[in-house]
Amino acid sequence: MRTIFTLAKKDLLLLVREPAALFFILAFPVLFGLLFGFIFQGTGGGDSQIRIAVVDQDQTELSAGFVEQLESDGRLLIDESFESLELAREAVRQRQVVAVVVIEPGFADSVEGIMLGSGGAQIGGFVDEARMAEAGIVEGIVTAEAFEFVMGRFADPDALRASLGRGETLLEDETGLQAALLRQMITTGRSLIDASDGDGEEASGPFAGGGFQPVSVGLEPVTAQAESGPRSSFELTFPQASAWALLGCATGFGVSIAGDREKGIMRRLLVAPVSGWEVLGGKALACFVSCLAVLVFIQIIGMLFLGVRIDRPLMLVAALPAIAFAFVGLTIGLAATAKSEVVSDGFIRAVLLVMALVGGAGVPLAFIDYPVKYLSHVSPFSWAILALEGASFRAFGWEEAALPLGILLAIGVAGFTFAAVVARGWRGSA
Amino acid sequence: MLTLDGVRKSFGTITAVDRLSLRVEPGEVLGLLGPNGAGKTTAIGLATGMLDPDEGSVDIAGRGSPSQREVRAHLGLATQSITVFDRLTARENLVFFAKIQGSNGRDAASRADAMLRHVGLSDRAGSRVEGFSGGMKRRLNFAAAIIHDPPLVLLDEPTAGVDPHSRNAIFDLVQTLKNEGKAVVYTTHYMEEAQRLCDRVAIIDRGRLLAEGTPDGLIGHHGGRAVVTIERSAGNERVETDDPLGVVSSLELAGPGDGHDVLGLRIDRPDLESVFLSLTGRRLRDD
Repeated sequence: MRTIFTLAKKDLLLLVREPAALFFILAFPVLFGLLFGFIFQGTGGGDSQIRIAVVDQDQTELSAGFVEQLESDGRLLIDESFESLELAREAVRQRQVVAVVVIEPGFADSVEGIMLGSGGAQIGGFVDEARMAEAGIVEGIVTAEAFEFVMGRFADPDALRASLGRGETLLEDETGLQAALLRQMITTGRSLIDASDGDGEEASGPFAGGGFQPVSVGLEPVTAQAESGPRSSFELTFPQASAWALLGCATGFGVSIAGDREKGIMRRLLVAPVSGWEVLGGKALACFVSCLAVLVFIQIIGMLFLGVRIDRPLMLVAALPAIAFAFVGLTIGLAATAKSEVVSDGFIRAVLLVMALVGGAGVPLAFIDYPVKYLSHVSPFSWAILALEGASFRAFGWEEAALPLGILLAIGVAGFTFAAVVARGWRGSA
Repeated sequence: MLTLDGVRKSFGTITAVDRLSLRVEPGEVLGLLGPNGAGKTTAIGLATGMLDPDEGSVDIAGRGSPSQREVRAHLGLATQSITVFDRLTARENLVFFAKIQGSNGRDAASRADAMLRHVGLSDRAGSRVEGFSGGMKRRLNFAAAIIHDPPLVLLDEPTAGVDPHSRNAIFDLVQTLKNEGKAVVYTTHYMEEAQRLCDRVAIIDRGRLLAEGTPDGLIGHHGGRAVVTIERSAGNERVETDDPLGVVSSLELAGPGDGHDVLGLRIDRPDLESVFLSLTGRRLRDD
C-alpha cells in the first residue's frame, strides 16, 4: 500500500506542477459553468417571473375573468394545463411550479356575495415548502389581483346591476322587515348606480377603505420530492462544469499511463519490486483524489458564489466518490490498451469528448429530448450529471439515486476489471 | 550474481534468444555486444524479469527468477531512454525511486543526497529536471537505477547521445560500481567503450552467443592479423602480419623517383570492432 501512496503522491505532484492541466481541470470548467450559467439565465430556474399553476374549479365567466387578471400580472407565469388538482399538486412536488392557485367551486357566487355585503371569496392552493419566500410573493400578488378584480366589479355598473338583480331574485319569496329593508337598499343602490353611470369613477362607498379583504388566499405547504426544476441556471451548468473537469482529469491521467509506457518509465517501475497492480493502483488513487478534489472544488464555487443549492447533502457525499470512482475506472480502462502517448491522447480524448457531449456536458440534460436522451444513457457523464442534479435541485430520494449511483459504480468496476486483465500483460510489453 | 542458463525466448515464429547462457560475477563488468536485432534487449528483458523464458532459467544472486518481486530488489536497470520526471527536482526523483525500491522516507532522503553527490548533481538537487542538459539527465537516470545499491546493475546503452564529459563521468561511475563489487552488464554499440570498461565481452547475434571472453582474448582469437599499409609513390602495399613492427623495420627505403619511395606507413592492429565485424559480418542491420 505504501508503494501505491508513493506512486500516487508523485502523480499528484506532477499534476499540480503542470499549469495547462490545472487550467483544464479547474479553471476551464468553472469558466464554462459561469459562461453558460449566464447564457442560460431565464431558461432555467433563473426566470424573473414566478411560475405557478392555476386550477379553475369554478369554471364560470367570473373565475375565467379572474384568471385573465392574474395572467395580466407580469410577475407571474401562469400554467393552466393541469387537468386536475392532484396533477397540479404533483407539479409542485416535482418543482415544475412554485405554487398552485385553486379557484374553488363557488368562487363567482362568493364574489357576487361581496357585493351584497356577505363574506369574501376564498382561494386555496399549494406551495413548495422549500420556497416559502416565493410563496409569500405569490400570495401577495394573488391577493392584490383579487382585490383589484373585485373592486373592478364594483366599478362596473352592469355588473353591479346584475348583482342587485340577483339579490332581488333571492328576496322574492322573503317577507318581513329585514327583506323589506334589503329591497329598499337594492332600490336605492340601483338609483345611485343609475345616477353615477358613465362617470368613470372608481368604486366607493361602504366597501372602500382599509381592512377590507374581498378575497383571502391561503396556500398549503407541500414537500417537494422527486425530479424538480433548477432554481438557478447555475444549478444546470455546474454539474456540466463538473463533467468537463472530469474530462480533463480522465484525459490527463489516461495519457500519462500511456506516456509512462512509451517513455520507459513503466518498465523502470516494473523492474523495481513493484507489481503491475500497484502501478495501476497508484495511477488510480491519484486520478481518484484529483477527480474528487475538482468535483468538491466546483461544488464549493457553485454553492458559495452562485447560489447552487444542495437539497440532499448526504446524497452529494455519496455521489462525489461514486462519480470519481467511475471515471477512474473508465480512465484506466481506456488507457490500459494504448501503448503510445499520441495514440492514447487522441483515443481517450475522442471517446471521452463524444461521451461528454452525448451525456449532457454540452447541452444540459434537461434540454435534451428523446431519442437523443436514450443515447445519453450510454454515457457515464449523463449519470454523473444526473447524480449531481439529484443531490441538488432534483432532490432525489435514495431509491431514485440508486440507479445513477449504481451505474457509476458498475462503470468503475468494469473499467478496473478490464484494466487489471490488460495490466497482467504489461510485464511482457512495457 | 546473474546467471542465464540456456534461455530461449520466441515471439511468434521469431526466436529472439536461442539457448543463451551467460554468467556475471560480483566485481565484474560484462559487455553485451551485438548488432541491431541480435537479441540484446530481449536478453536484458529476461534478466530483469520483464520477460519469462520459454526454456532455460534466470537466476539473480542465487535467489531465483527476477519474475519474483523480492528478487528484483537486487537489480538496477538504467536504459538508454531517460526515465526520470521532468517536473520533479533531481532530489524528488531520487527520493521517489528510493521509496519505490522500499526505502522509508528518511533513508530515501539520505540515499538521494548521497547519490546526488556521487553523480555530481548536488548543486542542482533542488532544480527541476526539465532545466537539465542531456548529460545531467543521463547521470540522474543512472543514479536512479542504483539508488537502492543493488548488487547487479544492468546498463542498456547508458551513453547513447551523451556528451564527452558526461560519458566519462558515466565511465567513472561504472568503474566505481565494479570497484564496489557490483556485477555490471553493459550493452553498447561503442566498441571502444566495451574494450575500455569490460572485463569480459559476450557477442551475440540472432539470439545466439557467438563468442565470449576477455577483450584481449577475443581479439587474439577472432581479431585476425595486424595490417601494415605502406604508401609508396607507385601505389599502396598492404601486408597482413602477426608482427607489424618487424614488417616496418624490414622495409628497404629506396631513393626518391624510383617509385618505391615510402611516403607513409599505417599499422591497423585488430580490436574489438574487427572482432565484432568478423563475427557478425558487414551486412547492414536496420532492425
